[in-house]
Amino acid sequence: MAARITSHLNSWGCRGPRAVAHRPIVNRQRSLTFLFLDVLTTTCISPCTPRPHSPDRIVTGNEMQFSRANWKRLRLTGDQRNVCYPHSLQFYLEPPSESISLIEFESLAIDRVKLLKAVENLGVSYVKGTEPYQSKLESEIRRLKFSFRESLENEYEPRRKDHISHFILRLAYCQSEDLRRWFIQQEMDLLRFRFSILPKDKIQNFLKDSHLHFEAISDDEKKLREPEILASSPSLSGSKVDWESESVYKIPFADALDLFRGRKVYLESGFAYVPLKDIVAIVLNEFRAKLSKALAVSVSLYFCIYLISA
Amino acid sequence: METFDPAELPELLKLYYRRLFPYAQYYRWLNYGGVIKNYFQNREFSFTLKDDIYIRYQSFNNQSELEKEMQKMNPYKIDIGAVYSHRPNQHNTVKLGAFQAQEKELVFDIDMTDYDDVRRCCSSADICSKCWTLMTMAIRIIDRALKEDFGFKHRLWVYSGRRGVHCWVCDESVRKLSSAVRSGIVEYLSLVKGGQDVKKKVHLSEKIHPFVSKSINIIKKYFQEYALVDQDILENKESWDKILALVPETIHETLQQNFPKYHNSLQRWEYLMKAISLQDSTKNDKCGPYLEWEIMLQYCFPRLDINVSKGINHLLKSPFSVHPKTGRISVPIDLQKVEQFDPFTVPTISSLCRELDAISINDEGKEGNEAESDIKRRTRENFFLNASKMLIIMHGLHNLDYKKTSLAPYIKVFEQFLENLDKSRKGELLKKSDLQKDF
Repeated sequence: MAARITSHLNSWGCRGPRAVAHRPIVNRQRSLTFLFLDVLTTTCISPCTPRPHSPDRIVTGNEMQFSRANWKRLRLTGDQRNVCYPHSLQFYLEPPSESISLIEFESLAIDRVKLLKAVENLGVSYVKGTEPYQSKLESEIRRLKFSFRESLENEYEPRRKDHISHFILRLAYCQSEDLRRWFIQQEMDLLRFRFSILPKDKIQNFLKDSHLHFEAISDDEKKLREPEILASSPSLSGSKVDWESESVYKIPFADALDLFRGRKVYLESGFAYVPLKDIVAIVLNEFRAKLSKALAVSVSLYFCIYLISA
Repeated sequence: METFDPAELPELLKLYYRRLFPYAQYYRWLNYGGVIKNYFQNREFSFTLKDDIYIRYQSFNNQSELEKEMQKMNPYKIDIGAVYSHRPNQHNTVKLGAFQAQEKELVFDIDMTDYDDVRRCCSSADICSKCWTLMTMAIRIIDRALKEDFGFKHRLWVYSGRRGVHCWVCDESVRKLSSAVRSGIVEYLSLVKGGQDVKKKVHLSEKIHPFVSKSINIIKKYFQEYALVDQDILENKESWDKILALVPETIHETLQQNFPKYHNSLQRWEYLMKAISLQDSTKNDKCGPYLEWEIMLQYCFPRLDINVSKGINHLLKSPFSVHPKTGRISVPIDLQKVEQFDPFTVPTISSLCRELDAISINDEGKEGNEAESDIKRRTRENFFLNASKMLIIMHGLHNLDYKKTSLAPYIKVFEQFLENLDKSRKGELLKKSDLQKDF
């Protein structure tokens, strides 16, 4: 079983932007086996009584969150599902805490690798953000049954798939600097795409749920600062700007480092007044920073191993 | 008149550290209300002793220990560093990598030597009343931005003792800022870019950020007096050639021809403005719509040293430290009276010690009744002050000598700064305890 999984992942190239040719394949397989092994170790560290488990059930997730309830947890139904994943996109802040079969584990991981590779290839063949890029990426996401649209029904499965597969790949791609860099780049491009197709009214809710300190300012506040904001933000230049419909967010200045250091945003009393377009850049930077940190932590999981017979 | 002889420093410093240095206020500042455990104890100080002996990683348990050490070592210079994870004087006992700088005030250092390319009166370490206006403008521009743009409340401006000023931003949140954000703040505040080989150092784009326009408005208040009169930047060919380097070649000839026809910089500046406005701005890369402002900024806008501000562990000269070359005390600058601040009237250590001597001679005659009623009055005042103030005053009773010297007004400025810090802190604590009481 383990060998089959590792060979799959190998062929789909758990690799970084440059072929890591100097690494002998033996090491690769061993390290990928570690990947599954450390996931399996979470079953042993759980505080509940270990029951004789069949080798093809894996529990993902944070040891500390693990509990008897989770062990036995079945798929959620109805309203509970929507509460679980209220948005089509997410920052992957909390690891999943349900049990899945080894087969599903494998298929989720492989599908996401396929998706990220598609993201990489499309980014090379087309200019990001242009029509062909957007539509091709959307069809790829749909084909692989991942989530992308905010308002569709029955989005629970794709969103769950998105969630779990991301965390599985974190473990796979944290091994080296090259792998980490590749993984972060593709995940960022994917998130940027998903953010770009979010309807405006959904943006505020999404940001709020992500625990970022963003607050859209009222029209009155906007009017008061109209000349200053227009004079400060390069993204508001040109004739395409519709000031009335433009949302402006107020965030602590330190959260807008890339903007204020180049004087590309209006600052007042310690807050940056950021138009929506620039919020995306900030959100992505925040995401990159968090993911980078999380990957660095994941590497330490390699030190808890035990063998499972496939 | 008031001469300072560096050779006398050891004796002068002894007297200064025994009777003038405001230990109580100094400790009150760096202790920050004692809210965070070991904040003062984990602060690094560095001393420069006689013969350039430099010792880092000094730290003290309390005000009394600080006093004793300073009086014992008699440092020529005192620098303040960061608050570390452990006591700096025990850093060698800490596991490798565990000893880290954690917090520090955001500091700025504005040095007159960085303006040598645009001041004609002095160069290098010299300063005079003609170029000191550069510091006045710098304080006004930077302080406005720190206060209005960044929302920083507790800013202490200090004269460096020779040729510049320092700023210490002490807000609680600011002390925790990362190196990246500190760098970003300096970048935001920077407009003059380029070293000696760069002729034109300021380039403005189409869009003028409010920070730039507000800074220009401040410079406009001083420009005529400072640049066209005191510095006389268009006085003669040698000086106006420098200005020509900042404007498009197409108008050079007409300027060279017509400048001599005028009698002073003021007139020539007006002519220059006319010549620029007649210029077609689209034809030139050197002539944006804001050429006039670019020249003013290059001659007047503050120049910051990013290295001083970005490092959390950077050491900076302490307020009330003595400058070993000039003897001047690094005194706080009253923000209400920035224009009136004159570095040449800042007390030197020798003048202060002379004042102390004079007081002792005088006091000898006044002993008896007056001294007694003084003590009685003090006791009454103490009784009504709150506990912390009482402790501070009683602790520093023997250090009230400074009140009778010209150091007094500067210490008053410092105390006002400390009052504001206290008020803020009390406000924060109240807010927090309110939040805890409500559910």
